Order: sequence, then structure tokens, then C-alpha cells
Amino acid sequence: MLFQTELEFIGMGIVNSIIIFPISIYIMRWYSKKKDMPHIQLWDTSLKTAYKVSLVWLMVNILIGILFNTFAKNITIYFLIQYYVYMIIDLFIGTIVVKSIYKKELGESFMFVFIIQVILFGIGLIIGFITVLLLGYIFPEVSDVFFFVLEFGLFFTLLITASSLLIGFAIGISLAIMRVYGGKELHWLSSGYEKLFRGIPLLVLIFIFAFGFPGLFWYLESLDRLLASVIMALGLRSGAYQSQIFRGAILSVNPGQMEAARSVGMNKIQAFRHVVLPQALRLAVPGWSNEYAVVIKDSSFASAIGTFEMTFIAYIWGLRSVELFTLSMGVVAVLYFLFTFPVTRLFGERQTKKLKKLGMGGG
Amino acid sequence: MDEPLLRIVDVWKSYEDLQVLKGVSFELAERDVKVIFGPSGSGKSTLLRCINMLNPPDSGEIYLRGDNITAPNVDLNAIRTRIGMVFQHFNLFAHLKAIDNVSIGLRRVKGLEKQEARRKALEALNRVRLAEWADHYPAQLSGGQQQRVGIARALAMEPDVILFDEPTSALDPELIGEVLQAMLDIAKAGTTMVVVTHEMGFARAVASEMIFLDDGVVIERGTPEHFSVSPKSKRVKRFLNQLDVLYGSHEKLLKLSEEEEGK
Repeated sequence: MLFQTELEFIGMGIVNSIIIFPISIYIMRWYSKKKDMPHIQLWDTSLKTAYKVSLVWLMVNILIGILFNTFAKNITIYFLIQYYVYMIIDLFIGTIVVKSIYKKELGESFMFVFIIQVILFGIGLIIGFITVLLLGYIFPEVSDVFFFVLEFGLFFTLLITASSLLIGFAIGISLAIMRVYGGKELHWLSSGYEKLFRGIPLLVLIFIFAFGFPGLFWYLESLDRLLASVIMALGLRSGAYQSQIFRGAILSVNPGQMEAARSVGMNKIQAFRHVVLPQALRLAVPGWSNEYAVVIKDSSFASAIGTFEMTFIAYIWGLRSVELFTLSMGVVAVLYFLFTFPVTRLFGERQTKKLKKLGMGGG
Repeated sequence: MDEPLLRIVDVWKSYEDLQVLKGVSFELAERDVKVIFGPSGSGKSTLLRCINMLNPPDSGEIYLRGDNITAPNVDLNAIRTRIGMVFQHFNLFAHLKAIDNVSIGLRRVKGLEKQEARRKALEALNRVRLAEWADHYPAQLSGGQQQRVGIARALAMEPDVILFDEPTSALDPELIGEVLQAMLDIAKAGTTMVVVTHEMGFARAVASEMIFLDDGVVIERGTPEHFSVSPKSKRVKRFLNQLDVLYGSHEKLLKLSEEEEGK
């Protein structure tokens, strides 16, 4: 059988979404600009929509991946068809979500986006197959370790990263609000939290949650307990750093914005919610994408307690002999790079450009 | 009813050691346009910020249609919807398009439906002749256009009075005209306004009364004609002369610099 587990499909779908889509979309954008189409506006908005759809798609994919991981026990040859079916269902869900979030009339661009997505997914899959075959033929060892790591590690690395970032976001933004608007006690509390978690090494935090308090996640299975404690440690620490990002972002919103909001009769909460926060979040994106890069790389610390993720898988692979160790660590290094650099570049630089266009932020 | 729209009684305000306002009082009737002018640091902006309670006064009372807004238990947010404010540096919401800048107050504060708020916002933008720029972000607009959006934002809330805090002093000379025109239009349409400005042309055109403020005290008040023909105090004369040199004939400026050289 070509595919052994469902994770391979999911990994492929994720790789598809992350790598193939942005590249193809950039190519199409470049093409439409080069041809100087009169309806470039439509193209541009469609491409933007395609972006958003594929992002939502990616998230839904991860969710469905978790569900499959939990419930799918029997893997059959029809899996490929199933996978296509649920990709298309994802696509619909994604489009509807985007439609409701952005409240945009997709209308004419919907079919365009839909067709792009389906075609690109097909192309991506074919390219994927060819790459896999070529890679397997030319560098069998590299290909082996690459797919071994993708298959068993990528999902957990992404899961750890996404969950910790979410926890960190919730903590960070509340701490930042406390620090900027709160009284003396709240200020003291939040800066105390920051100093505490910035002063403890991550590995120590992970050990504390995993082994120091073994009963902390009593309702989970033992392996999941380790995973949860890693997420907890990373999330709590990320919260400390994210609070700095958001504090800076809130403070760099011009105080005149708050005054103007108050002058039209908003109360302090409304002014914060509708005027200051949206701008602060936009200003925080470049810093936040950096934090993402830090967290995804630091998720490798989870290997220290034997949680499955990319580094641990590569480590196991390499244990078989010294030569393989160089190879497996090299491959995993490349994988981490692929998941950090394009994302920080995309979010950091694009957002900085966008902010400049809005006249927000310095520099 | 004899109660004026806005009545300011003996307002005092200090920032730490600095006494900025030293007992300012005036009244404003419906449809009045009051122009406040004076040298920088005289407390003009502070006075406006006291009126809409962005910086509450230390003592003194302010009545809006008979309601004492300086009383301790007043809902200031409700009061501020009745007092519009136009800022020197525009302070438009940078992340929102012009139309949303105008409609956000209608939607979030007055609780209007989206369509209704949009309609009213477009109406307000139309009054400052910016309807076709509704879908631009502030950074895509010129300073004059931004300030007109600021005026539309204040107008859309249908306040009792609009306060203008040096609306043209951050603008290039070329852009001042369009803002003054928009202000003239809405003044003539019967909007009550308090304007801090040095644009004497605007003052002459619409002001019902002018107030000269210096060092936190009202030095002199009167109609625009009074100030252009026979200002009483020496301080006002000197100030007006300087304004005249800046905005008026360049011969005076030349003469002044020759005098300087002569010394």
C-alpha cells in the first residue's frame, strides 16, 4: 500500500496548503499583473479571498485531522477518495466561514476561487507524488526520514505550536490590558508574571508541569498528559512574551485615537474594543509572527520528555547509527526553517507594508 | 426658554503647577458661532477640552441646555454625544475607511442599524463634499480631506454644538480653504459652533462673537467688526498686528525686518 496511515494524507494536505497555495497564488498574481488585465481588481480580490479560504481550510484540516486521528481505526484503499471528499467539504466550510467573517459578496469570484482551489489541490497532489517518487529514487534515505518526520511529527509540532500560541494570546492580551489600563495592583501582578516566566528556562517549566505536578492533567491518558504539560509550559511562557508585544502595540496607538473615540461618546471599553484594539492587533502582527517562529522552534524541547513531535521523531530515527543522525537532524532543521521563514516573511513584511499604507506605526 | 445652549461659568483649570484657565465665562445661544483666539499657551485648547470634559475643569460649571455637565453624577458619554469635537491633528481612526470613521459613532453609540448608519454617514460626508471619497482610508486622503472627514464625524452625531480645536493649523495653506469652506457651509446651515482659530477671514464671515483669551483670562470680547475696527486693549492690538503681518501684506513684514536691521 502506498499510504500507510491517515497522517500521511493529512501531512500532505497541510504541506499542500502551506507550500503550494501561496506559491501558486503568487504566480497567478504576478501573471495577472504582467498581463495588465483591466479587471485586475477582480483578480486581486479573488486572490485575496483564495488566500483566506485556504487559511481557513488549513485550520479545518487540522481539526479534522485530530478527529480522524481519534476515531478512524480502519484504513482502506478508499481513503484517497474519502480524503478528496472531505477536502471539498472543507473548501465549502472554509468559503462559508470566510464569507461570514468578512461579510463579503463573493458572488462572481466564488467559482473562480473554487476552481483555483480544486485545480491547485490536484496539481499539488500530482507534484507531491512526483516529488516523493523522485526523492525516493535519488535520495532514498533523505526521502525516508523526511516522510517519517512529516508523518509522525509534523501534526504534533503544529498542534503544540497552535495551542500554545492560543493560550499565550489569551494570557498575553489580558496581561497587556491590565498593564496599560489597570491600577497599581494589576500592573504589579502582570509585570510579576512576566518577570517570573521570562526568568525560568523552558525546559525547567516543562519538567515542572510534566513531572513536578503529575496530577495536573489527571483526566488524560499518560502520553496526552505529557503533551498537555508541554503545551501548558509553552503557552504560559509565550503569554509573558506576547504581553510585551501587545503592550507595545497598545501603547503605540496614538492617544488621540482614544480621545477621538471618547469625543463621539464611546465609553472607555467601547473605545478600546472598536478603536484601540483593532489597531493594536494590526500593529502586533509582525511581532506576533516572530513569536510564532520562537514557539514552533521551542516546541522541539518537548522531545526532552518524549512527546512525539518532529525533533523527537528525527532523534529516534537517527539513533540507529551516527551517519543517520546527521541526516535526520539536517532534514528536521530544513523542515523547521520551511515552517518559520516563509511565515514570518509573509506576515511580517506584508503587514508592515500594509501598516505603512494605513499610516500606522513608525518606520 | 431663556437658558442658552451652552453656559460656561467661571471655569478654572490647572495642570499641576501651571494655572491654565483663570475663571473663564461665556454663553452661547442656539445657532451662534463663537470664535476664540489668542496666543499659544493662552488656554484655548484647554477650554475646549474642558467643555467636552476630556479634561474636566477644577472648578466652575458648564451647562448644556440647562444640564450641569460638571456635576459629579453625570453620564459623560451621553453628554459627549451632544458635543462634537474636531481635532487639530484630525485623529481619524486609522484602520477605518472614511465612511466607517463617520458611522462608527452612530452604530456603536447610538445603536443604529448598519444600513441606517451608512446612510446618515454618507449624508454627513456629502455635507463636507466627500461622498465620493467614502471608501478611502485616512492615509489615502489629503490633510484637508481628513479634516473634513473629522468634521463629518462630528456632524453625523447631530450634536448640539461642535467644538473646533484649531482645525486648520496643521494644514498646508493650500488645503485650509476647503476646510474653512466646509465649516462656513455648516455654520450657515445653522450649526452651533465654538471655534478656536486664527483665521480672521472665517471669523469675520460667520462669528457672532469673538473672544480674545490670554493667559487663561478673557481679555476682550466683541463682534468681528469690533476687533477689526477698534480693539480696545493693547495686547489685542499687538496680537492682531502680528497676525496681519503673517497673513496680510508682505510690505508690513518687510518694514518690520528693516526696522529690526535698523536697530
